[in-house]
Amino acid sequence: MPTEYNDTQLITACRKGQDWAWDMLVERYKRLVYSIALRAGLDQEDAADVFQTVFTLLVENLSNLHAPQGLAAWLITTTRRTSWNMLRKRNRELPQSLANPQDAESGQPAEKWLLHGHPDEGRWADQALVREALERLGGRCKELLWLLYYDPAELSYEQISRRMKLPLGSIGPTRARCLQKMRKILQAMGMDGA
Amino acid sequence: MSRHEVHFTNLVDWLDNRLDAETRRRVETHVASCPTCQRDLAWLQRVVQAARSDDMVEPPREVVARAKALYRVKRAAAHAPLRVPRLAFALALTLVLLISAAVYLSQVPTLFTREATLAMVEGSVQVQRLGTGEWQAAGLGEALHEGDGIRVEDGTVTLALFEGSLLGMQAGSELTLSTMRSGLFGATYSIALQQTSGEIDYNVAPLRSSLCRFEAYAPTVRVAVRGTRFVIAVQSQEQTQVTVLQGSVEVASAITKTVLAEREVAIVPANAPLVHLPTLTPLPTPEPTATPSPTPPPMPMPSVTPIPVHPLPPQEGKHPTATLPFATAQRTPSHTPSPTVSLFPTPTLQAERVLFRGTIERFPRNLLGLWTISEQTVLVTPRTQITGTPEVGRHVRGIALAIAGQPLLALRIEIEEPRPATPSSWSTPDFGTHPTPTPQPMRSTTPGPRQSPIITRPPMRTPQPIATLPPRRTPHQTPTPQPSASPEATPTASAEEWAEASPTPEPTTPANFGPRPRR
Repeated sequence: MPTEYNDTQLITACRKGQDWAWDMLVERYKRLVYSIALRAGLDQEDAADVFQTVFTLLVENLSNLHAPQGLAAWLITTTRRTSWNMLRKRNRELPQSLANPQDAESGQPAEKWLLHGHPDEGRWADQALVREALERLGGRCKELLWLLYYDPAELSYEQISRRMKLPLGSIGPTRARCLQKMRKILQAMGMDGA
Repeated sequence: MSRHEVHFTNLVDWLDNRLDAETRRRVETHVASCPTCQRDLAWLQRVVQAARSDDMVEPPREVVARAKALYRVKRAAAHAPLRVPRLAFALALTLVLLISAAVYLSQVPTLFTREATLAMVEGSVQVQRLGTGEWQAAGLGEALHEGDGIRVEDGTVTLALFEGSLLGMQAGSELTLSTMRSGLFGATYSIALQQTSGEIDYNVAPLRSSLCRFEAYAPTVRVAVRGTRFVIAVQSQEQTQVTVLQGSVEVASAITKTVLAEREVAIVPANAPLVHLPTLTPLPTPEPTATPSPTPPPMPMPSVTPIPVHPLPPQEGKHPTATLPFATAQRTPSHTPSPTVSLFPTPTLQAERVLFRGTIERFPRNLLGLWTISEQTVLVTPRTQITGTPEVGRHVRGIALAIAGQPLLALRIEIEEPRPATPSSWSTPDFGTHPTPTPQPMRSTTPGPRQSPIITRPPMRTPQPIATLPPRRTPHQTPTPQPSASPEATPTASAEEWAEASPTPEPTTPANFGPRPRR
């Protein structure tokens, strides 16, 4: 029995009443949904409300999703619109000067990309899948790839070698093997192009 | 450079910019002409970029937990509507099964044990309860159950069965209620009686369905009936006489099985063919003075008001005196000698029809038995027609048979429905046109003098009682049925009085209390 499932398989399992499939979906996309809400300028409380609303909508539309393979895109769009609604509600309550947050990365007003989409949405979806694949790798692969690509400290190979007590010359081959493993996991998770 | 010259590691190093210039150039040259390597490199770039730019924030744990719980809540709620139809379906199925079971059980005539009641006692009667082996004195209104035995030492006893049949037991007769059962709702029943001695008049109510069974056993004969009236006289353990008064019965002995028609008489020996005796023949209606019967003693009732007496109008299909089983058993001497025929060797039974009214003070839960109406005891049998809902304190009026030394045998009881703040609906008209006492008000909470029942006894047109049983016939007498509709046989309240008493027949409660058409 495989341990990785793509979105279509998970949605199908959810429709059959499998709790574990729903839990796996939430785990897969929890950071994506919550982060979009935060990126929209909402505080943590409102982002939590958006989070709850989006997954409520997902539960209610499980049987109506005609293209489960596009679940990530559906979640991103739903989160954007929900965040926009929340933002409008908050804007009516806030002074005008604080009512127009901007996206920290693109610098454009959040309201604009919330309505019309963000150019990095594809990358956001990849980030969700890659991060889950990293969690599934586990062990030294997870640690190595985390230090190489996720650690904000951006350690050098020598630092990584010392921390992981790996010969400096084996980091490269080990990294390549871990990435190959991650690729297989991402393929199983339905990441296109993997 | 072939595919083998550039490994995945080289692509990762190229992406991480960890190759020297020569190797970097060599890899780039190879990748430019290798679609697989281009695809691998594109994937690597996509994943590494996603990883390096990943600034997503982990939501709080409780927020995630709530989202996970959403699905379970939704699933439970989504299944709830499915459970409602299932529940409704289950209820409907259960209902259908219950109805089917009820219909089926109503067709099983031996489901519940039923009882008989001593409806009239004049003399000494004893009852042997099932399993006790002891004979104990019994009284009016006492209930008998399946397996019980009853014997009449002297006098006469009327036993009312649950389905409406009346058994007139003469002195010396003994009977065992072998089977007294019915199905659900009493729609079907099975009655088997074992008569071991004496004479018993079986006035059997018409069977309610083809599934009903009424059989009387004597030492030498089994009599199966379907609503008729007959007499079994156990003359000895080797000989039984069966006399059919109404309808027909099937008579079966050890070697004979035949049908006796109305007025036929037969002797059923133990080990010999059945012997037909001369058929009973009707005689002219006797004159009222022909029957020597003393005037009945005054009834111990508080107030008696004579009213004009007229014959009771015969009811359609019903014997006018069917409510008193012995009343029509009058026989006169016949020119045909028949030493074996004897009917009802009992003293004369005298009864008169009276009107009564009063307030219900007490009544049995199943309505059968002794009621107390304004301190007067009234016996209600399955033949009593009850109109209205009995409740303590309600005003009633009715018609009853008054027999010396016995409680009133109620023929009909009408119960006034409570009408607050309005005069009694019975204030006018009252029973008949005769002078009647002022209608008694309904019982109130105001203390006052205790209300006594008002019993209106119609004066007898002649000293003739309502029913007269003939004295024991001589051996040369042949019993002859008397025309049952003879008005002289039932001097009682007038037709007008009866009609006014019940201008519109109402349904009786319970349903089986009403008079049944007789064959």
